Amino acid sequence: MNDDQTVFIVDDDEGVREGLSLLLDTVGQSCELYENGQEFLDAYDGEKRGCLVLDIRMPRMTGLDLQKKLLEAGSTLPVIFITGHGDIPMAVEAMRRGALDFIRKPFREHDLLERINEALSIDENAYRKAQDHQDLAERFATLSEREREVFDRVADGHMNKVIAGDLAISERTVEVHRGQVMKKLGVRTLAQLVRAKIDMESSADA
Amino acid sequence: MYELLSALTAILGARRAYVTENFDPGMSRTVASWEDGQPGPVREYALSGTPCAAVMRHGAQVVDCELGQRYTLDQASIGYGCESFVGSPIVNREGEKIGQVCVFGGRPLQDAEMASALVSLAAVRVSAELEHRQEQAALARSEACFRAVFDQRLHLAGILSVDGKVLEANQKSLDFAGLTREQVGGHYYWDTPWWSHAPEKQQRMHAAIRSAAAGETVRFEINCPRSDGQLATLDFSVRPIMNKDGEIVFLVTESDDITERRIAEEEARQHRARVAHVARLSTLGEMAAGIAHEINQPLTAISLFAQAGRRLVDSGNFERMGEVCRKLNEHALRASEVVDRMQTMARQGAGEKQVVDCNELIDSAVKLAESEARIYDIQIEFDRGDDLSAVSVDGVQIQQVALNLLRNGMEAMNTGSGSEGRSIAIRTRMAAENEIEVSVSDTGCGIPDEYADKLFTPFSTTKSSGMGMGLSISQAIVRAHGGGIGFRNNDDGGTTFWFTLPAVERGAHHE
Repeated sequence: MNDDQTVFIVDDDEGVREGLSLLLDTVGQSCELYENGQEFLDAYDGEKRGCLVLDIRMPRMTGLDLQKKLLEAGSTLPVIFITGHGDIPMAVEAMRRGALDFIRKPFREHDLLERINEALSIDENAYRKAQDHQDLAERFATLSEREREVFDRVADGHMNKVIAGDLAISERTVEVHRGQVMKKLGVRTLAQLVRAKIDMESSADA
Repeated sequence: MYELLSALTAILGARRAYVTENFDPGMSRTVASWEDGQPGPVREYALSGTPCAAVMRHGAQVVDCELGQRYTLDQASIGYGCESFVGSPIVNREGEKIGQVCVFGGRPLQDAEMASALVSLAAVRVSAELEHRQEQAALARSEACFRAVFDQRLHLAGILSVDGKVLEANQKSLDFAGLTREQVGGHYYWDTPWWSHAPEKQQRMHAAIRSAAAGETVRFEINCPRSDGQLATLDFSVRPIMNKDGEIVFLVTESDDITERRIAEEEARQHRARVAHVARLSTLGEMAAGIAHEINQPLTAISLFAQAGRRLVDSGNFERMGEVCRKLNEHALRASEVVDRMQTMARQGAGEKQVVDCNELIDSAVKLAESEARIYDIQIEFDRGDDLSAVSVDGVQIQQVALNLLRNGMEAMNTGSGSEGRSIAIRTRMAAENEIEVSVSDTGCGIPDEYADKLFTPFSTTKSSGMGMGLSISQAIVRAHGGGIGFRNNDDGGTTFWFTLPAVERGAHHE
């Protein structure tokens, strides 16, 4: 596992917390322990990467309550719920709200570690994707007005000739702009250029 | 008296003379009679129609001749066949006429005045004696009366001298153990066959009688063999009887055979214990989910520590194994505590009372209830009273009552709108010098007036689940412990249920 990701454990039972912490320690995974949801909310800055292992049944603020608060705050931290006997309805609700999975107490080490790994890689992917997005957005920002017009039309599948007519410029000028766009966005093929456009539009939607 | 009567007849030349006494209104009887030179039989007769009636009404009377013509006397009358009569009332110290001296002559009287004087003199003469006789008779009657009451009493009763010798024992007490008066009369009470079967009982009796002789009333329960061989339970007491000067003159023992009552009470107690046990099992069934969760927690911890431990061993890292093993043990014990508490509640229990700390009892009940509190997301706050007296109770049953009240309260709160930070409070305190109160305050919906009356009635419930037995069983348990149970709606919503238990006197030795 890796160093820049942390497993945040929120459980009101000290024994369960300590046991989880020791087990994760043996596989070299760093973790932070919290006794209740409020303690976690107070400590978590939203920047740290990792995943949340959350007891579904806790006094004062249940796991579901905490999940809801995090969603409202825009957190993308993957959540694995810890459930006990008879918590299935709550677990279903948690899944409906986008929890990654739930594991039942007592845990099988294999299940537990696998879920945590999965959660961490989801977090990692999301992080990478976010990084890529940001990268693309930065490159896109360097395009001139004309280049953007050409980019839109190329990505929409228009021929150079059509674009030239459309923008009232020469076909050669379109080619120069097109080469400039691909260089600036760091794409080499038309397919990559189309994907960049989709990415940009999806982030604009988000 | 006979000498007097014989002399009277001789002097007056009369045939018959009598000393009579009145015993019922209008009735007289002869106390002494002298008839034709010898003592006569006792006669009872109605005054009415005889010259004696006039004596009782008007005082001394003389009929000097023709008695037969003036009074209609038949053969049964005391003056039948006589010619003359002289009678004088006998007056006691209080001036009441209690009888008369009367003389019947066979011939007309020669000197009525002398006869009257003589008979009056005789009446004065016998007055004291007759009065004494009557007092004696009254005393005998009173004694017979007392004896009858004493013997017929439902109690086993006895009268002892101050040093403990049996002066009297009523028939009931003798029949009870199949004894004769001779076997107990004059013996020291503790040496009688009532108690001689057991030296420790003799000692106890001896001590009790010493206390009574010192002016104390002593009462306790004690076993005594009955004539049918069964061991009876007696509610025994001995108390001193004082004369006008305040000196102790007798000791009176009284015993009630309460064997049957004790058996009935014992049966009721066992029945109550069985019902309570069934209710506890049913409660445990309802609490199964919470209890399972409670046990699952330490099991989860154990599983985690064991898996981590295996990894540590696999990687040759033994450094932390000591800590791992300590944790394993700690959580195994934690799980077993839950099982213990559950088993205690599931146990049938003999229903026997023990002297215990009330706070400890309530603490166990709170821990049991916490398994459910977690499900409801309710905090239980236990406000332990300081300096509580001990209580003598069947611990499991009292825990059952506390648990029942806590669960009711939590259920009442759970039906309301769920909000964060809900809590239920259970308090213990000294409500009075000799009384401990346990109260449970919820912040639930309160109890509508229309349910208030039926609350403690069996099978009345407002819940969708449950039999409606909880409060009625709780009430039976608390009452059997000599306490009370009740509730009040709180000013700020919710309800407080409370129950009280008699405190064990501080420093008292419990038997």
